[in-house]
Amino acid sequence: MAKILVVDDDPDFVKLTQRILKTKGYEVITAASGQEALRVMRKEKPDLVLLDIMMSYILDGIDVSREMAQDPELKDIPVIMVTSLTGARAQGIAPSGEYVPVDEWIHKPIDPDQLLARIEEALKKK
Amino acid sequence: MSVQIKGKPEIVTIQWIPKYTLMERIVHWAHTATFIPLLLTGMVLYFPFLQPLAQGEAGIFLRLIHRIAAVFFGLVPILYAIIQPRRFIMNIRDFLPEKEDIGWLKGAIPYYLFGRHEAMPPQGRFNAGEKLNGLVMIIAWVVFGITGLIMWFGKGVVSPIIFRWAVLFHDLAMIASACMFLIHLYLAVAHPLMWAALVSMRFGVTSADYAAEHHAKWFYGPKRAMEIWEAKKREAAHKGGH
Repeated sequence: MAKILVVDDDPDFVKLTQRILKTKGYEVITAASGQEALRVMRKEKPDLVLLDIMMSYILDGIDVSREMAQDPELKDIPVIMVTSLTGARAQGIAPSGEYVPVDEWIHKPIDPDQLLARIEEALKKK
Repeated sequence: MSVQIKGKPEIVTIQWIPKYTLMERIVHWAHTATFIPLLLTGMVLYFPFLQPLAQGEAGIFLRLIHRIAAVFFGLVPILYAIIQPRRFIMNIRDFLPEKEDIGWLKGAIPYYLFGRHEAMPPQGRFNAGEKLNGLVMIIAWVVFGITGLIMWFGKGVVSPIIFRWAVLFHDLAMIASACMFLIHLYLAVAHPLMWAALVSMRFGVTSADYAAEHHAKWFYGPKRAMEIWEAKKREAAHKGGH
């Protein structure tokens, strides 16, 4: 079964997500900050990362996905942003390196069914 | 700041950032709602020229209002600590001073009075002024609690010297917290650079642009915030040189 890294500084959210993911038999590993997430990723090579954005600082998660995109060992791991930040969606194609690529963006509070569907989708695309 | 959704022509741009939880906002406004009647009724009892208002039945009524408000003022943080202990401790830590706060003190006048943005070093979730306000209010809350209880229940129980010290410290805490409250009120309601702070205490969120400008250390992280600030200072020095 796929190994999923849950990155979030809120232990309640991590516990809840772990419970949701385990219902489908996923192996779950966790990290509480961007730096810790990168360390765990390099060691454990997860199949997918659920990444909070706002942790030690607001753009912590963005910096993690930017670093992943530049690392040949990590760049192919799908990333689903799970965040309480409000983002405006718009049609368009990123013109420059200012933009950070992710596989999906989900708002908190999460809907367990939606989360599991998005994870399945991202793992299939991999 | 934006992210590109892989494989789709779709961009998500970060717009709003949660700054205060619902509980933090309830605690803030409940404290404000109890502090104002405490301050007003306390001033009537404190200033000699207002003392005619504190005589007779009006005086009894004012003292009653002061005591009722004091009970709620005292209870709000205690309830917060019981309901959300982790968040409560995190908030106390947020208000503790750091060495870097000296930079805010040095930059405060050029920044707030003359709008020189490069004079203000990057700030965290709370800037040093907000931290100072929080710290004064926490200390005042403790002092009000101890001295208020002595003044309310201690007459004839504690020694007259302790009673007089309690009155003195109660007055000093009132002066310090009233000054802090007035500065806080002015900055939140009237200052052109800070009005968004009031919006975030109302709705719980702050715009990404405001956070990047006013809370850069919280937004970008300490390292990148310092790099951006250094670049801003170099640019200002370059402009000043021409």
